[in-house]
Amino acid sequence: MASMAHGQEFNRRSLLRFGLFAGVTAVGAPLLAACGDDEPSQTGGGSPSLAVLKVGAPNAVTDAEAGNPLATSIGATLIVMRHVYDSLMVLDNGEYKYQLAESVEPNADATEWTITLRSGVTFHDGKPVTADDVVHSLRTLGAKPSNRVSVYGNVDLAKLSAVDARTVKVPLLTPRGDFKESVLVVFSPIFPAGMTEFSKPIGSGPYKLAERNGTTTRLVANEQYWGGKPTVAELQVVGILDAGARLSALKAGQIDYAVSISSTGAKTETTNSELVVVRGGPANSNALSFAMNQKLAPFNDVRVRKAVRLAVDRQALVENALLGLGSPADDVVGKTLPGYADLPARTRDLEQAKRLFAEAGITKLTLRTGELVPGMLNASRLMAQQLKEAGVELTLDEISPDAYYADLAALATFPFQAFYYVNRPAAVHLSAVTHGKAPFNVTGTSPAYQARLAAAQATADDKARADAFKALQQEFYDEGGDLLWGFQEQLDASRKGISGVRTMQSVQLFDQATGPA
Amino acid sequence: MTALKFLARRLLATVATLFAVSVVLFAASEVLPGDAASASLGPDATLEEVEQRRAELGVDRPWAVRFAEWAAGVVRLDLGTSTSMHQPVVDIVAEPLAATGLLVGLTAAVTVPLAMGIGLLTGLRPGGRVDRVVSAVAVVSVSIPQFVTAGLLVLVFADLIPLLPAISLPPLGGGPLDRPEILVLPVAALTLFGAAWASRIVRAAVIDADAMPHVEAARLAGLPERVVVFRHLLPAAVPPCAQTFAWLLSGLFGGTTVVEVVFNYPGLSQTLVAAVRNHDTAVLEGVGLLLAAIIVVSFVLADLVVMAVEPRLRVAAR
Repeated sequence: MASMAHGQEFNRRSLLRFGLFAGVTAVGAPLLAACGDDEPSQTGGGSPSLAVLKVGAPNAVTDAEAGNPLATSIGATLIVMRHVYDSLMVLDNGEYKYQLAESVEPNADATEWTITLRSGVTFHDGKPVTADDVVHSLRTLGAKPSNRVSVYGNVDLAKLSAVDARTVKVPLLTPRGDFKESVLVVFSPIFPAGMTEFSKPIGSGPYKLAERNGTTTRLVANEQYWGGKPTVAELQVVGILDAGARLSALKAGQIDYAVSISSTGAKTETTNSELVVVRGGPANSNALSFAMNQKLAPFNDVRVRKAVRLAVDRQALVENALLGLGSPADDVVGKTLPGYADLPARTRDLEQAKRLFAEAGITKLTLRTGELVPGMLNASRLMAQQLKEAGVELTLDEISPDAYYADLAALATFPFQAFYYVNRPAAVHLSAVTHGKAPFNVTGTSPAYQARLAAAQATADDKARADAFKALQQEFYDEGGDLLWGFQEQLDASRKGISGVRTMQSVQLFDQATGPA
Repeated sequence: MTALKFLARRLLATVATLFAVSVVLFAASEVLPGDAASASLGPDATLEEVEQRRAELGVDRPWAVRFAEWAAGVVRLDLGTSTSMHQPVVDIVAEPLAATGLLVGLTAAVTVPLAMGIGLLTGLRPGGRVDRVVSAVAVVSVSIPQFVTAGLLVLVFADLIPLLPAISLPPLGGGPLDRPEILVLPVAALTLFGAAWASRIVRAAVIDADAMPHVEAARLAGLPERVVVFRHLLPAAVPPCAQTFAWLLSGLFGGTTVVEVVFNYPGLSQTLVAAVRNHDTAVLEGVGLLLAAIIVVSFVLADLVVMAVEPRLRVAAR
């Protein structure tokens, strides 16, 4: 079983990674581009198109059917899903963008939204994409057995209606100024009205499903794609469970692109001239945290939270625990993504940390930790050394990764635990994770904070809502409970000469990829 | 004891064993953290949703009740329905079981003659040069973890000398046999360990048999060495060897996991891993029961082989 050790990304934690992306309640800032090192590679000018591209990606063990939008969580099946279906909106290259929607407009108090569809788009079976299809899709996504029900929790699905062929009215249960970012951008693939069974998926996306078996899904280019003819004629998505196996398949030429390799694998292959290691940057990363619960002693004392944040050397943690394949974080999720408040970088201040610990009378702490993602345990050990320099003895309470999330309700009862989130727009994260009912609210935000969060979400005006969210981030930065220390980048590898692979919402897109000459 | 009586008793024992295994498996999936409800909903589910889902799936009822229901199904050859994949367990398990069966069958076909050959070669001249060299190699390959062996095979035969595929991908619309080269490295990895381990036991059995009076008598009677080995020595070595190969076969069925993961072979291990992670008790139980059945049956077969050989043994020993 030792070779399974770096298979961590396939268990519940991967569900967390992608499931959390489907945030419940959220607000993003206005459509605002983030800085641009989050794109692994851009389309190479004049590079030839490809007849076949083979992609190896983790299998999502919960998803029996590749391309079922009701049950996709990670890896191969999610990649298939994103290529077969178009969504109403997406987060692309740090910007919220319309895809099948042409516009999405609120009424005055943001209780009803009107979606207008792009015209002239057809499904793979030749039928046009209409408002009825959108109504059916959203209702299906918002009801069981869909695993994205919570995304549509605030939508009045029963009253959802098609006004005409291209217009859909979406009434909400409570006013939400952030409907686009928190619902449509998060998850809105559109499939034909009446489609309730997904073994033969039909979408309007750049690829049609041609054939599949237990491990491989073969997709062929949709020549009529409204977004431009794909440059890869045939895409094969191969489910490969083990990160090591993905890398050896790439090296042996069985696949052209390996989604998610280990950081040790990436280090080893940096000298291999046949391969290119593709780093996802902070935009495509896990945000690693040591979460302090503000409701529980000793972290109900703001001095302790501040002292812990000041005592750690984040750069050292990134260098050692993440083998340098990441970057330091500054306590708030969302760096390089829309709506980030551009908070100053945290620096280590041992003297102040010592003073604050002394004032609060803290000499001992206990951290609940486990290897949820590779490197987390090493990071915990290193932090223990760093805290010792600040005069605090840290005891590590090691939990097996499989048991870590066993009892969701209990997560809120641990004062101090290693944790991770997906790095996504801060506003989306704050809403989905820090609101009162969220199971992953492990920092114990106060009722007052949640009231401010709800007010921010309801704000219809984009600018005012963005400001409100920046204020919340500032508050979280000053007094919140996450010691968010690093971004662990998504690491892929490709055959040399492959370019034009985009990463959209943590999913690799290959429709515009080009190959070596 | 007649063979029939023996079979009847073994059959009873088999059923009892499988029942015990089922109870243990069911209990084990109970103590696994989390449950099918939280696994199927994903982590952004609220606690209320999880509770509701538990009721829907029926996992909120006492486990003894659920076990009884499941066991009643098994008697009707119905292994139940997967909670995560919404398909009958029999359908989910069929293809991976066949794939793993193929892997095990091929490995056995290579390993058994190989281990017998090596065992004879080393056991007939214990302490000789061949024995010392082969034994050293065997000890080393038994002690290397399988994922290292498998990784080394990939490194050598897929990476350095690109002869064989690094991972085992069956073609679309086909099975492993449609692309037989994908079977070579997995079988080699399993054989390296299996042949090394089994040949040690064959060797010991050959040494023991060699010392038996009837073998010595045959030698003294001036029979040619080939006749001594095949007529007199080998039959005496068969019982321990049969047990060894039964062990090997059952070990292979449970032990292909590492190799299947390294080569991404579409066998039972992925099904099993998925079942554990999704708390899919029905699948877990189904796979577990099948594996247990295979193991028990292979031991019964080994016993039958021994029974078939024993009368001759007794005659020969007189």
